[in-house]
Amino acid sequence: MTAAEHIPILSVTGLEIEFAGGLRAVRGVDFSVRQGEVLGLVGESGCGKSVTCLSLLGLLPANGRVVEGSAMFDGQDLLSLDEKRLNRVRGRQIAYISQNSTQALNPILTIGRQIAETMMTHQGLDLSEARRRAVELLDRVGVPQPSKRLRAFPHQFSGGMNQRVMIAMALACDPAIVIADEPTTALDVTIQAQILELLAEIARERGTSVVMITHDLGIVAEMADRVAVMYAGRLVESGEVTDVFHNPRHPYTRGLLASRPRIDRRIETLTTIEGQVPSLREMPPGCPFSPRCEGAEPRCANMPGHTELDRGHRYACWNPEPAA
Amino acid sequence: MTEGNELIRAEGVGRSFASRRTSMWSATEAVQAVVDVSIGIRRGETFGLVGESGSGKSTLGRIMLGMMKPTQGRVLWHGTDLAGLDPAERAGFRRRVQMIFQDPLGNLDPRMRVLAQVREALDIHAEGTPEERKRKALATLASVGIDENLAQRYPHQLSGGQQQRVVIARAIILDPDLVICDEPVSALDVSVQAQVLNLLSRLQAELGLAYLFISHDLAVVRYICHRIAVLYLGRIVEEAETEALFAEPRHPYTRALIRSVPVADPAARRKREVLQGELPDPGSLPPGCAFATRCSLATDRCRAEAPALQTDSDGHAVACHLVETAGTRA
Amino acid sequence: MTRYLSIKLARALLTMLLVVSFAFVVLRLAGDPVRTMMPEDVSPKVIEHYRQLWGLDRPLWEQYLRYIGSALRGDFGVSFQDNRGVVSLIAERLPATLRLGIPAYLLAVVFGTTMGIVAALRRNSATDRGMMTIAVFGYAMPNFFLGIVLILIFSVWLRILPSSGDTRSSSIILPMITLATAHAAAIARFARSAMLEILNEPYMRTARAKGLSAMVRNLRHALPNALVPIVTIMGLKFGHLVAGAIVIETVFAWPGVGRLLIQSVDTRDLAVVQALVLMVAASMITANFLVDVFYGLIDPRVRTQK
Ligand SMILES: Nc1ncnc2c1ncn2[C@@H]1O[C@H](COP(=O)(O)OP(=O)(O)OP(=O)(O)O)[C@@H](O)[C@H]1O
Ligand SMILES: Nc1ncnc2c1ncn2[C@@H]1O[C@H](COP(=O)(O)OP(=O)(O)OP(=O)(O)O)[C@@H](O)[C@H]1O
Ligand code: SF4
Ligand SMILES: [Mg+2]
Ligand SMILES: [Mg+2]
Repeated sequence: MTAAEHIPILSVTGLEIEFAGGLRAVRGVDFSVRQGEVLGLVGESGCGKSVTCLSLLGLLPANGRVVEGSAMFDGQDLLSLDEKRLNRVRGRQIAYISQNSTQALNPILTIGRQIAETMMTHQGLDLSEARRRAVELLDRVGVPQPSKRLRAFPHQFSGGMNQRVMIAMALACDPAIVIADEPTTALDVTIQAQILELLAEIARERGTSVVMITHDLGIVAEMADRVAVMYAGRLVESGEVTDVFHNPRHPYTRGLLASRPRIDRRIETLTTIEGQVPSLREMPPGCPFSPRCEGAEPRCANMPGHTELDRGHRYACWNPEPAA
Repeated sequence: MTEGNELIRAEGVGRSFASRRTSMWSATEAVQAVVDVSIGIRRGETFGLVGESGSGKSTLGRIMLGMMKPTQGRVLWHGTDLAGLDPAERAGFRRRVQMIFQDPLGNLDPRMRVLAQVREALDIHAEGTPEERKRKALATLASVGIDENLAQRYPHQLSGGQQQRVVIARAIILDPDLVICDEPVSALDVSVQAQVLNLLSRLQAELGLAYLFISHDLAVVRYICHRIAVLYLGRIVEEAETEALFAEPRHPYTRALIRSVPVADPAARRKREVLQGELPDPGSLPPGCAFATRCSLATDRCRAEAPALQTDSDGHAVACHLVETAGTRA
Repeated sequence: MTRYLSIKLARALLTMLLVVSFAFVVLRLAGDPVRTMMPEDVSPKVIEHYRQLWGLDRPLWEQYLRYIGSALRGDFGVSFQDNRGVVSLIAERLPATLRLGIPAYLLAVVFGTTMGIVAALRRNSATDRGMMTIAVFGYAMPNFFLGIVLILIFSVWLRILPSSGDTRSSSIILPMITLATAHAAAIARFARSAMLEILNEPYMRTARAKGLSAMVRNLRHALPNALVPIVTIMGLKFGHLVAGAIVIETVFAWPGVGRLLIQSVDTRDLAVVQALVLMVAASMITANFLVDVFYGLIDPRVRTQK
């Protein structure tokens, strides 16, 4: 890695998100995205991965809001931009690819129109020029017969093809960051492999940073340079992938790694994390993992701060797992 | 293959569905969801069915459960054709074979307390006194980790993992021999999946259950299954003991499938060898091997002639022309 | 699309045939029309004469075929009241109904959809609440009541508009407003919820994430999708044009088919009632068919359906 690659292009600090009724879905989340890297954001369903990323682009659902924090990008705080300024960032500098592409595409507009309009909005291209570029993009993401497909509608495509269209749309304005929210969750493994390969290629080729949201540790291990692990709205551990996977310090990270069967080796008995993720309404005081944690101590009833190790490896735990 | 201690066996089972007509006047075209499948499940073993979406896993599961009739072939229960069971035998079969589905909430009655739902099967068979039935239902729930307090709740008051435990309790309360599990952990959180998988293993050891375990998740299947059949467009392309299958996958599709699954270990990062293309339309398959359209090794023969499933002396079966010509212990 | 339309057309024609047949059956079940119409003490001979004249002595299937045959020729029989052809009777009244109904309908559609969509785009704002209060009010208030209130205000009290009949060009204003209000209110409420639903679709978030302006998002991404359900209710309302006229025409003494229907029911003029019922059914079926055509135009999922 060159020095330039260490420069964060997006730094999020102290992010707090609340939903109507005072439910804190995200609490004190800090992370950064560096130029050209793939950052994996992992955690189980409901831990706040999507809302964290949506908040950066001002896309929270109407009943949710950012209560605190900042997200510095390109010299400005994304969280305090007005709608007009945000629209200059959305799709142009930061693109968002969502889960279940078939529902995320407009059913009554052609694929070509949906890709073209991003460029027409941000780059002032006219329709025919934008369409020409759309053909190139579709070709780039591996959609066969791109010029013919321009006139197709989303329901005429498979889920995998629609996900390629979403990626083409995201790449249209050559953004600095692509946020991919579980881009392969609804897809078959062989199609998932194709899409992941495509994303990895793009990140490599264009130096685009990718924030890859997933609950699959395998995807993180294969794709990401760094990883941030979330649990119940908190960031519990983050760092370079090799550090976090080979030397997990937070009991949740370790438990998560041990509870997943592996395809590459035989495992006699899986270690399990007992219990279940607490709901937002019954969040314990202090460390959110404490009700399920074997190493929990009385002081875990207070929120543990982040401890920082080498290479930016951080964890939030009073009683961390021993270093490997 | 030893057929002596087999509980259930599918023999040349096929199932076609009439799919939508393409025009008002054309004939309905048939989709072959399952094509000439033969598998046997032995007492106490876990038999895995893996394959991508639409490969016919659920259809085969439903046929083995007797919920759906095959359009070709037959299903044998202890050597007797399911279609030929008399009513008493049929009732016996229904007790001995149970099913668990992917979506637990969809399979529980939202207006009934879970205890009552687990008890229901006992009530139907009018076994013992009501008091005894209640005790047995509570004991069964306890064995899957649902305490008395949770047993009094309604399904929506439980977490996904707890709901799936209730579904499991309901399936095992009649002491079945075989439980057909259709994607039993796919809808669960990662950290809860392991709990349910371990529960299923424990129950198998304690009760001597056999499972037909349907999943698209190869890592899960590797963990829990003794024997695995890989389905592609309704056809078995490979079947083997689990360790043999992962140590030496022979069919190009199995190999691609295994290589497509990301490994949760950065040190094990592999060069991805991505399988090109997508599943062809099952309604209009070319002749020859169903996998030929995506197979990097396909030859003219593959495109013309469908390979037969060949079993070697270790019971490792593959349907691929190349494996055959390479002279693997056929 | 051609296939889609031919299926829909065939379906519409079939429904029409069913309705026509149903009317025949109901009419026969209602008893012998001759007896229903004649005074109690008329001689059996007279009855027999009329039975033969109207073909009621024939076997039922023959009566049915004749009936269908004449219906196809546009012959719906003769009014018992004044012995004129039913069709010409209706043709005389229909223009008045249409002259009132069509502008009222257009008014309702334009105001209703606009209000609904604006309310949805400004949901939970004062505009939204205000518009929806008006809509609930307009929807809940019975037509005849609104009509009477308007008459009281504008004719009796302010004396600026005529209260009834079709005598001056301004006669149409009050009945039109009354008729339009209920339709507009129903359409507005429906349009709002349809639009809200679309605004919550995942693809609307995609449109925001792409940085599209609110204008483009609402006009190009949301509106056409919302139109699909909105058009359904517009079709329904169109089908109700004639049926909805009944009350209004009575309140405002408007000389349209609604009044004709009331009069005919009153005098048991079955041929007229039957023809009017068929006309209402036909207008609903036509509206339904037009809605299907529109679906095909707007929704590619329908259009490209195999
Ligand atoms: N519109 C909403 N109203 C109320 N709560 C919400 C809303 N959207 C999300 N939440 C809550 O915020 C928390 C985080 O949700 P989020 O969608 O970010 O989870 P996630 O990590 O992306 O999960 P998944 O893997 O299921 O997508 C959850 O507890 C969820 O219940
Ligand atoms: N009732 C049905 N009518 C028509 N076609 C059907 C029916 N059930 C299944 N099919 C078709 O049969 C094929 C196999 O479906 P099946 O549900 O068995 O697949 P599966 O392997 O269980 O897939 P998944 O992983 O998506 O559950 C598919 O092409 C499906 O469309
Ligand atoms: S802070 Fe305490 S409860 Fe939380 S993970 Fe660490 S040891 Fe466990
Ligand atoms: Mg999410
Ligand atoms: Mg299935």
